[in-house]
Amino acid sequence: MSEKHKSNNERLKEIQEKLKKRSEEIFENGPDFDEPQHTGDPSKILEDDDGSEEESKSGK
Amino acid sequence: MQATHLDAERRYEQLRLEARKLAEASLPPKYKGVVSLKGIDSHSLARAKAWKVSDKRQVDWEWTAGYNLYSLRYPKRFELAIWKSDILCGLSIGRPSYNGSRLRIDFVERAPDNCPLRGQVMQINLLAAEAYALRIGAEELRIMHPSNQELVNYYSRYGYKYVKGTMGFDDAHEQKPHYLYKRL
Repeated sequence: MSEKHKSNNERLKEIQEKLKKRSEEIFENGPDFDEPQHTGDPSKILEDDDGSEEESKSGK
Repeated sequence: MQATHLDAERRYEQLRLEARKLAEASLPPKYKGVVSLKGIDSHSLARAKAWKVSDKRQVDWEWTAGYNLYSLRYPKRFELAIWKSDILCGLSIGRPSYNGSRLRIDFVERAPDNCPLRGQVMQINLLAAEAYALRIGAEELRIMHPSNQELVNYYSRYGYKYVKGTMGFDDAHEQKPHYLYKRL
């Protein structure tokens, strides 16, 4: 079945299966205490620094 | 606010809700009924205010003002508040690219003091962000502006690859940011 014709439920089921596998990978070794306290640069959060491909501010 | 903006906010709020449910259902059993994934609301923003006085906090980002502006600008945004019982453990924001093929995570922060999910906040955030990316049909997740090599090493363990940006151009608009990415 093509992506276009999949029902919403089928799509959700596929995502769920994918996430369960991914969850096993991510949590495989338990907590990761090398975890950073934050990720990202606060001074750049509101910058459109990735050019014209970013989300339109009008939401279109 | 334009009608198209309001319409996008409504449609994407539903997708955010669905993605959080999918992510929550995919968490390991030990988190079930203990960890909850929610949107960012006045309650979580009020809790995050306490982070400002922590001497362990490494950044100066004002969540209430920052989130309010960000959410107004980006109706298709990713947003996440990670709770363990009634303790706020982490907040995160991101946004999709114009054509929806990518989701970028702009900022994630773990509670600086006595976080009961220390070592797990970024893992949970990754799962939730990937869930939202998949739900909106994006094929790639990007983590923007990793600030040091330790952070690059950390995300590399979860399959993310580093792309070095171009720096030092006179015209800031010509600069390309550095980021980590993973095809989903």
